[in-house]
Amino acid sequence: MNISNLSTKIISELKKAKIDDEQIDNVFNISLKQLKTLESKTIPEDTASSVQDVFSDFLTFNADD
Amino acid sequence: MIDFKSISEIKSLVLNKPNFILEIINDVIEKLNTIGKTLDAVKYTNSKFSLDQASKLIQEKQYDLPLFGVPLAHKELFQRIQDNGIGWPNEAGSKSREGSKSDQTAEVISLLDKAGSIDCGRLVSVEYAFGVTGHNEYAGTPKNPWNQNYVCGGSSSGSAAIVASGIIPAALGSDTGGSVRLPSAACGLVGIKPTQGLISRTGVFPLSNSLDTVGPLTRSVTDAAKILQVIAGNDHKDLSSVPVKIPEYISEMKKGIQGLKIGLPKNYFLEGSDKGVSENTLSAFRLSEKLGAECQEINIPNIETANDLNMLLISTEAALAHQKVALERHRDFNQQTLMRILSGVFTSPNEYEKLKRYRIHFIKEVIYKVFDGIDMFIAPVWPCYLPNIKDSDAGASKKAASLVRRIGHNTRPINYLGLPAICLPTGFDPNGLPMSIQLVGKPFSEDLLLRAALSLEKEYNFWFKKPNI
Repeated sequence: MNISNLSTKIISELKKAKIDDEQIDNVFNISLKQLKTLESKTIPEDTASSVQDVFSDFLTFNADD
Repeated sequence: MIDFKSISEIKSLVLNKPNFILEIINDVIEKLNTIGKTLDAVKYTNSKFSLDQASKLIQEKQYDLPLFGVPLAHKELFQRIQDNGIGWPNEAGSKSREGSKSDQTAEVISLLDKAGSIDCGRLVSVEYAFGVTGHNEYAGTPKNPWNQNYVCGGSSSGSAAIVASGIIPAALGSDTGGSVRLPSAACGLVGIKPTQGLISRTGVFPLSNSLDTVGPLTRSVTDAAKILQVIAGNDHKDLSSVPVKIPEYISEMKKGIQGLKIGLPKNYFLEGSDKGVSENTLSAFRLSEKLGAECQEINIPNIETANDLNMLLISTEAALAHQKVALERHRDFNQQTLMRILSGVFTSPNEYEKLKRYRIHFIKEVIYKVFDGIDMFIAPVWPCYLPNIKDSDAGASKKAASLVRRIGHNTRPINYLGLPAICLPTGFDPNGLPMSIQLVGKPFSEDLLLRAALSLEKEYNFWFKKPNI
């Protein structure tokens, strides 16, 4: 398992805060799985800057339709 | 006194005799403190405040206010500070915030005040609004009025229990991954998860800045529309707010379901739900067609990962907002909340940026394709029959992560897309607990969702069914 420097640092902070080891393993594994899903995604260069912009454009598109 | 009455019925009662409001408020507060506490659903009441608010309303004689004299109570995330500077409890259902007080009044609470409603208190939330079943070791696990061995769903569990028990006609909840719709569905209520940006979140305890929304839980579609009409609108203090023209929901929804184009997704929702739940959704789809909607099967591209990415975005933003207290006071948290907040601490700043940007790209990709030929689509809410309190108490066990993921299967993708949805009760499961469907629409098409829901409600007639409290 490849653990990044950031994760190592966070795990150390969780241990310092006396979070249970089993809990740390559990949350790390949940996070790892979800971050892998994110890693597989690609984003086009021309992506809008906000959800609001997407919605506003969609409303304009529908009004013109 | 006003048990199971609609907003219109309550208004008729008090317009004939305005002083009757005081008797109603006394009765509501008493029921919140007896029935409500028995259901473990009530956090806080303040009879002096509520009666003062009612007396002022009577003196001002503003009888044309849309919610004149209507008693309400809300999820405990909605802050209120009184004119004398006393803040209502702001614990967000957590021992980690024991004794915390509101330092402002939520924008939506101010709007409801201005509309003439009477605020009768705060209702139990899942800790930090971070849970789908309704379990809360600290604030209490609200019991389902239809069968008290069963969950109310989360996280607006107290709001659902109290409205379903008929004490008040409506309550506000918040929905980040299903927290209005899951409790509404569990308790046989109508629940609205609005388009992201339609309703202000100012003064509402935050879970996820990108995903939090505010919506009403009511016993009828008409009451949901009435509350929505009051609370929808732009708020410059909420950066997610979108300035749009607010339709006249009540008159619009009377146009009915005829001619609306409704889709049934062939992928994801039904295949991820139990057979009885899928059949219930199919049945509602067929009923819509019978009532005059133009129905067709559709496909929603790349929806399969939206649940996981929504969970990651919630956890990441919850960690950003609450990591410090979660580490410092972790023993004061329910184990499941702690697990979910801490699973967000591993997201790097770059990954967080990618997560938000991918969401924007995904929304654009989906809404133009899916809503090309339809106005809305239909889907289940819970993917399974409602679980009982004991069996679904997973804590932070290995089972918890998959249970949490599974229960939000049909709701979280809608938050990820930022789209509006209305949850509508349709009948009962084999255990006698309510079943529901959700209609999911284009951005800011709440008026169309209400149209379809009102027509379907007339057929299902669930409004007339009442739990035996």
